[in-house]
Amino acid sequence: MRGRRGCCRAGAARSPPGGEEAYGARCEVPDLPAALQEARPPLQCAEAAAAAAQGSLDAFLAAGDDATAGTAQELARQDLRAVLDSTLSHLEHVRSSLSSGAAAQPCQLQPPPSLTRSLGPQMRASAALATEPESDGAASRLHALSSAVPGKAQQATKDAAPRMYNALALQLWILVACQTELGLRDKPGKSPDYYHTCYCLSGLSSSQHAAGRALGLPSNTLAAADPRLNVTYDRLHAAAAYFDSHPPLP
Amino acid sequence: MLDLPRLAAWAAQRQSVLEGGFNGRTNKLADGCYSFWQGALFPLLRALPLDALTPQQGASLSLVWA
Repeated sequence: MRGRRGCCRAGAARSPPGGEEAYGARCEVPDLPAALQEARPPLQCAEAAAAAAQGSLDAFLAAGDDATAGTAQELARQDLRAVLDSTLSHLEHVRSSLSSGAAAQPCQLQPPPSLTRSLGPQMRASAALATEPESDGAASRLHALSSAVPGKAQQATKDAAPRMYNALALQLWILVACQTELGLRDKPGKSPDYYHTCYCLSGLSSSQHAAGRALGLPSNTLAAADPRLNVTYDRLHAAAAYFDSHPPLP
Repeated sequence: MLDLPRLAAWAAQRQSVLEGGFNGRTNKLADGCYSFWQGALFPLLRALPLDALTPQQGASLSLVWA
């Protein structure tokens, strides 16, 4: 394998601050990519992300001409292509919202109606859906939750790419940087633990269902969890059924 | 009341351009667990009507409170 590590391609190499002798001869550290050197407005941010994604794909393609090419290689190429496409789509979105003179709108999507309906009274009021009758008791609230976000609602948002963050780039980070054979971890160099395993997987599930696709093999797809409770829907339905079968608390 | 447009802008800027992971605050490295603590905020924000996330005329999305 050659050229698979993209981290040093991001900026020109330079000597470390302490001089070469401080780290041993020939040791080089990369410059911080320009993208990270200062706070950037959305356009520069999006351009940097697109350039980074393009660089990753280029590096992969340059290294992918060996005999190991196969299904896994092809899937990885498709995934990198998808990450690039999503960054380019985001860049286009930022450009168009800037050129239209509007303040950058974080989201262009209409919410799935059933999800809006199930939010608490305060949010429901702001969603101008306050005409729905109030319901009391844990059982009915749980029931409302469990029936609120069916597969249909997810299907409705599936076609539209999420605009507020890059879900595919997040998946790539979790799979590549956080995954170990013993669990998931904070970042490379750290040890895996149950806490990070739980929330890396929770985040992976969330981003898969927000993006409408999972990076990697189809078997990577995790169960969807309710975004408010981080509880899978089968458990939520089970809880609703349990409380429905009991009288409401006084 | 929450300043939802500003919350959305802040949350979006928690995603690292280079790594794709999220951090918890400015100038911190990405941490896998924020994939949920920050990343799962977006499905909640998306559940709101669009105008709840649209800045008012002349409002700032700056992360510095002025």
